Amino acid sequence: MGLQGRHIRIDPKLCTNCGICELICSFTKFKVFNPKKSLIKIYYNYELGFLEGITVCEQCGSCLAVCPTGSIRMADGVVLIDHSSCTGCLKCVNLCPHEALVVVNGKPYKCDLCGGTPQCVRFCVRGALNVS
Amino acid sequence: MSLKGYVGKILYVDLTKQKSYVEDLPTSLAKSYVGGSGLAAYLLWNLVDAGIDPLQPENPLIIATGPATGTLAPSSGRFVLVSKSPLTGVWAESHVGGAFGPQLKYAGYDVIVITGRASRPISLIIDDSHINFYESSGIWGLNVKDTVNELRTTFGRDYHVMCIGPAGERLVKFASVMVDYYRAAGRTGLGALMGSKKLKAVAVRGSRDLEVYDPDKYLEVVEDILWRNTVGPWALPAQLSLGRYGTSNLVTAMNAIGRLPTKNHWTGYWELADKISGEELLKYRVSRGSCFSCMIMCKHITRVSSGKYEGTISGGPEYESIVALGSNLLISNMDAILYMNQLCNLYGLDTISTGKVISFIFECYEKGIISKSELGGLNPTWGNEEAAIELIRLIVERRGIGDILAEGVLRASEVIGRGSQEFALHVKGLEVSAQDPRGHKSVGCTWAISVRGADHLRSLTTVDELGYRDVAAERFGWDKVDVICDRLSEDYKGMVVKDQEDFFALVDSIIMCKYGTMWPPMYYFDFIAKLLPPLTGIEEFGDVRYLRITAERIANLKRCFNLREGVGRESEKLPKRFTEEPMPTGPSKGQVCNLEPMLREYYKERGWDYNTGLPYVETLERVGLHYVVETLSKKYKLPRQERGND
Repeated sequence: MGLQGRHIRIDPKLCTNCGICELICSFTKFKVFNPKKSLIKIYYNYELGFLEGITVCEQCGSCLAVCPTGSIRMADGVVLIDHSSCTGCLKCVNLCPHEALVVVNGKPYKCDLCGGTPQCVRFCVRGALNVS
Repeated sequence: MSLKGYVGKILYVDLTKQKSYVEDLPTSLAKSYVGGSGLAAYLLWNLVDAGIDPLQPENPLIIATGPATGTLAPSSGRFVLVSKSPLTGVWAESHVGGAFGPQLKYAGYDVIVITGRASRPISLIIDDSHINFYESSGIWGLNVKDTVNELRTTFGRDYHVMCIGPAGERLVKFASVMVDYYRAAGRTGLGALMGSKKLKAVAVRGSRDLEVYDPDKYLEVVEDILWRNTVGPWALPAQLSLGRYGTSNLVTAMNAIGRLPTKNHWTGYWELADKISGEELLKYRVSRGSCFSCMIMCKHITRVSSGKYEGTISGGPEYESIVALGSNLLISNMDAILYMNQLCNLYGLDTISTGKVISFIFECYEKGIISKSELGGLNPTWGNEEAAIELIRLIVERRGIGDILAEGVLRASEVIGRGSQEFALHVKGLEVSAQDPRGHKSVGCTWAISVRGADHLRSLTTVDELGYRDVAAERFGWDKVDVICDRLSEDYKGMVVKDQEDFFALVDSIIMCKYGTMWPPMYYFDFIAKLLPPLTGIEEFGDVRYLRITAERIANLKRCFNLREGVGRESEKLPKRFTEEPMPTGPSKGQVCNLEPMLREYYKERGWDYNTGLPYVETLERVGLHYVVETLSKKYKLPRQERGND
């Protein structure tokens, strides 16, 4: 897997499944509340109380190679999509090894670490999320 | 204009015909009744006639969210169930957390109104605009955990489920509705209502956007919420108490002020309270959880890993459950309390009412009112955990004495008779919660005037209980602080209770949690005035005076619902235990609750006539309830305020 950059990680012991990371993500990126549009997704077993998994872009850059229009680039270790030239072929979505890309209005979206200050990390009161 | 914050849709479901349709939520209703409990009160008032049998198919089950639900508003993952109660025959309202409410809004509905009765067991599966009536004979009879697992396996892991267990199916009058395994809409027996409708479960998932009116401004509010929960003055107290221990933290605190219900509320102090404390419960905790969109995160899952009750695993228990099934029965074995809590969660029983009907039988047995032979050989002595567990099973299976107890403590005491009524602790037929009006006087007023019966969540005042002097001063003035914060004084308590009832009427309509608005008192009217306008686009919500009138309108409407049923002033009384038996032991020793002065003050503050127990016409007109005046005037001669009276 390509370059391993800094990305959002989770401490499973601290996550309580409050869902605030998903809410603030969809609100920051799309100005709406909709966990299905969140670029970070929490999978939690609330029957037994443990985190099963998380999907969020690991900034690996695998998608760079498949983009036919060159709309995906890497800057300072963060993979970014240029939506003005993206045609919505969704090859990147199909390829992503972490299933971390979300399709909104036919275009792919992914975590860009909010330009350096990820809101989900800020709003995680328990401190379960971090960038490293 | 289209409403923001809300979805703007009400889903009507008729189980008899298996049909559903959607109506728009009128903006005028949102403005006048906000949502949640307030909106449901308006709908219920118009949907049913007075005197309807709660278990009649026409009695609706209203599932309501508020404008805050599913947004980043503080502790707003909740929703409310409203109907006429099968247990009490009056106003029924039960709030519950988890993530079901937000999903309902993402699916595209603010409210679901369910009427009718299916001919065979059925579940409602909601996937955005697809409504599926799912034949559920196969899962009828399953416990709550198995039901949720079965539905999530069949339809998808991203569904959130509210359902009933065997207790609701068998119409146990205090059956709960369980959400996401462990969250309970416990009180007022709405599980029995679902059972009578043959409705086993409602499962929902949604994928739609929830828009806000002014995202930039709303982000400022959201930043303020984050500040209050991480840096603000209440952040640390909330995390050190509720966050660390959950509500179980209260056991020690309440014992310290002589208000820990012990031995069917005989006293308010227990020497063994340390054995059931929050610190003790931490030893059983396997994980800390949270409801949706909450920064306090008071939930936990506990497990018993050795001994007789090994393998017990469930959510909670909360303070109320620990008391009802613990100190209230003199059971100090935490393993057994956890086991009983698990049974109640699996069967779908309200832990508070369950604990109180069991302690009722324990006391009847102690006083010689009921004999062993009538109890099928059971030995219900104080502290006997086996007997308590057996009684829970008997109630759910409706066998022997359990069949009588399943009707609730009021009806059970009427069947048993022989003076047992004295030990049936309830108001309006709802078993009392884990407070004691002798050690915390305002609770007397709170219980008596509560629209759903003896219950703390409609108007409990915490400034006196937990000593929030600064908050009391800010709200009521420094001159009154000493008296208001004196939990053993009845003075000013009518006023404070009225203020709390109004505030909670609003909180229950928005819908936010009591943790943050009651304990700790992090948010008040001023915060809500900042929260709602950028969320909903309704400018009026930005005016605290408008919010207060709205809150009064909702509080008055709920009280008038009970009046229309013929339940008024005469029902606002406390069991003799609290007004005549002085507290025998502990820090509140010697105290009784003097209810009438508080009630008199409450009525004056509320703008109702103390003597007749009826609202003044002027009061109802002032809050815009003209149609209520019209309806009630057919039944009562509503008083008018005389000129010159204050």
